[in-house]
Amino acid sequence: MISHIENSFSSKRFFIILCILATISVVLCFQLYRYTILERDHFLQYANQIIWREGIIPSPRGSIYDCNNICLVWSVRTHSFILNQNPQKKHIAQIIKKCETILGPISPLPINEHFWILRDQLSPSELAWIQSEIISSSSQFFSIQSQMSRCYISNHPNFRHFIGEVDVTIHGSQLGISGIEKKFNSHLTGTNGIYRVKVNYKQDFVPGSWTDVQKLKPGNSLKLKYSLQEIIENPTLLNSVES
Amino acid sequence: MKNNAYLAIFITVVLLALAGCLAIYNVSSSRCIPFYYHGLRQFCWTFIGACAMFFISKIPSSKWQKWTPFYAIITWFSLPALFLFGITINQMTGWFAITSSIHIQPSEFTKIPFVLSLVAVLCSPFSTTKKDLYFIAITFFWIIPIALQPDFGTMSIYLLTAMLIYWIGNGSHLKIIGFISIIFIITLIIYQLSSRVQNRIHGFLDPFSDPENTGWHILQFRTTLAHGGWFGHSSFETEWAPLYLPLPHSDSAFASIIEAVGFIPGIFIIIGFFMIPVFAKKLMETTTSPFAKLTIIAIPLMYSIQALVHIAVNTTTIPITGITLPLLSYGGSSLVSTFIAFGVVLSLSQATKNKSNLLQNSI
Repeated sequence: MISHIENSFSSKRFFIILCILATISVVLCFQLYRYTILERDHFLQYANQIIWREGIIPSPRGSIYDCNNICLVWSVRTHSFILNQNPQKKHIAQIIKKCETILGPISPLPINEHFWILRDQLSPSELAWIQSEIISSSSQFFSIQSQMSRCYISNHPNFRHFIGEVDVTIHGSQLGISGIEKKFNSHLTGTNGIYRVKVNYKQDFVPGSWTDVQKLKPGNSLKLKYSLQEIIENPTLLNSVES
Repeated sequence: MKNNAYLAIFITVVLLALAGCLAIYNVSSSRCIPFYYHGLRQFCWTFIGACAMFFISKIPSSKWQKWTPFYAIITWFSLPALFLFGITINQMTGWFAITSSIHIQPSEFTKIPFVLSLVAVLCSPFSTTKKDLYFIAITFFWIIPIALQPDFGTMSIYLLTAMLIYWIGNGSHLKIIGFISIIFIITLIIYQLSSRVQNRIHGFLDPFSDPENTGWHILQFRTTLAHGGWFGHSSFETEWAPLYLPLPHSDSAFASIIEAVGFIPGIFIIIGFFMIPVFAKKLMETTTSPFAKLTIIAIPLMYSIQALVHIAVNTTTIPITGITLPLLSYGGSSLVSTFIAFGVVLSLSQATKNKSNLLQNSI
C-alpha cells in the first residue's frame, strides 16, 4: 500500500509539465508584446481602414418658381424597398407574401443581377411597417434606399420641354441635362455633404461617432420671369432664355 | 509555507475573478442599458463563488474520496439529460434554462467530479490493467455526451486533463504516446472531413488572404490587442472589442481585457494562471494522502491549461477553439464551478493538515 501511495504521483513529471507551462507562458507573453507593442501601428492602420466609412449626402436641388411665385419644379426624398436575393427563393417568397398583406401586390423589378426593387415611393406608414416588421429581422436580405426625385407641377409637353430633365449621378445628386435644368444647373445644384462615421461589424453606424467632413448646402431656388401659362403656350420660349 | 500557498491560491483566484468583472464591465459598458448590467451580474457571481469556495474549503478531506462515486454518478446524468431538457445556444445543446436569463452549463460543474473520479481510480488498490481500463472508460463516458452537444473546446480540455492526470499519476509512457497518436489520427480525420476546421486552419495560417471571411476572427484578435498598447485605454473602456470582436465576453475575453488594460497588466494575468499550479505544488507538498496530492495538483492544472489555451487562441498563437477563460469570462456556471473546484483543492489541503496534526498528537 505504501509503495502504491508513493507511486501515485510523480514530482519529476509534474516539474516537466511546469517547465512546459512556463515555456508556453513566455511564448504567450512574447505574442502579446508583438501585437500590443511591436506590430501595433500596422494593426491600428488596418483598424482605421475597416472602422471608418465616408459617405455622401446628396444636396437637394433648388426649386423653380414662375413670375407669380408658383412652384413649378421641386425635389422630394422618396424611399424604395430593395431586395438583394432572388425573390424566387422559398424563404424570401414567404416574406414577400407577408409584405403583400400590407403593401398590396408586389412584382419585383430587377435593377441588376443582385438587386430587385420591390416597391418605390413608399408612404411614411409603409416605411414604418417595413422597418419594424421586415428590416429588423431580415436586414441581410432587405433594405430601404432613399433618393431625391424631381416633381413637376404640369406634364404638358411644352412645359416639360422648357424645364428639361435631370439625371441622377452616382452620388445620388441631380444633374440638369436639358432645358432650364441644364442652363441653370450650377445655380440649382448645391454642395453635397460628406460625412464620416464609425461602423460595427454589421456595418451599422456607431452612435456618437458621426462627423461632418463637408457641410451640405442645398441648391438655390430659381425664379423665372415667365408665368406658367406663358411657358405652356410658347414652345420656343426656351431659346429666349439666357443663363 | 502551506498556509502561504493556501492564501496565495485564494487571493490569486479572487483577484483573477475581480479582473474578470472589470473585463466584462469594459466590454459591455458601451452597448448595454444599463451599462453596468453584465459587470454587476459577473460581480454577483464572483461574490457567490467566493463564498462557495470558502464554505467548501471547510469540508473535511476524507469526505471527498468517500463521496466521489455518488457525486460523479449524479452529476454525470446531467450531461445526457441535456438532450432531453437542455436548450441550444450557438448551435450547442449545453445549458439548462432555469429562467429566461439564468442558464446552467452542466459541463462546467462536471469537471470537478470528472477529475475526482480519475484521481480516485489512479489511487485505488486495483491492478494496473484494471486501473487503465477504468480510467479510459471514465474518460470516454464523460467526453462522449460533451462531444455530442457538440462542445469540442470543453471536450479537448477534458481529454488533455485526463492525459495529464494519467501521466503525473505515473502512467505508462507508451500508453500515453498511443493515446496521443489516436487523438492525432482522429484530429486529422476531422480536419479532412470538416470544411469549418479547414477554414479555421487556413485563416490562422494566412489571415490576410481572406480578411473578410476565414481570416476575420484572427485579424480582429490582433487588432483588439493592438488597441491595448502598454496600458490600455485611459478610461478603461474598450472600443474595438464590443464592435468587432466575436463573443467578447466569453471566447474572446482575454483580448477584450487587454484592450482595456494593455500589455503590462496582461502579463500579470498570464503569470497568475501559471502560478496557480506552482502554488498548488507547494500546497500539496505536506499532504500525505495520494488522493489529496493528485487532486490538489490536477484541478489547478486543468484550469491553468484551459486559461493558457484560451490566451493562446486570443494572442493568435494557435488556431481558434471555442474555449472560455476560467474566472474571467462571462458566465455564472463557469465562474461558480471554478470557485467550487478551488474550494475542493483548499478543503483537501486543510483537512490533511488536521490529519497531520492528529498524527503528530498521537505520536
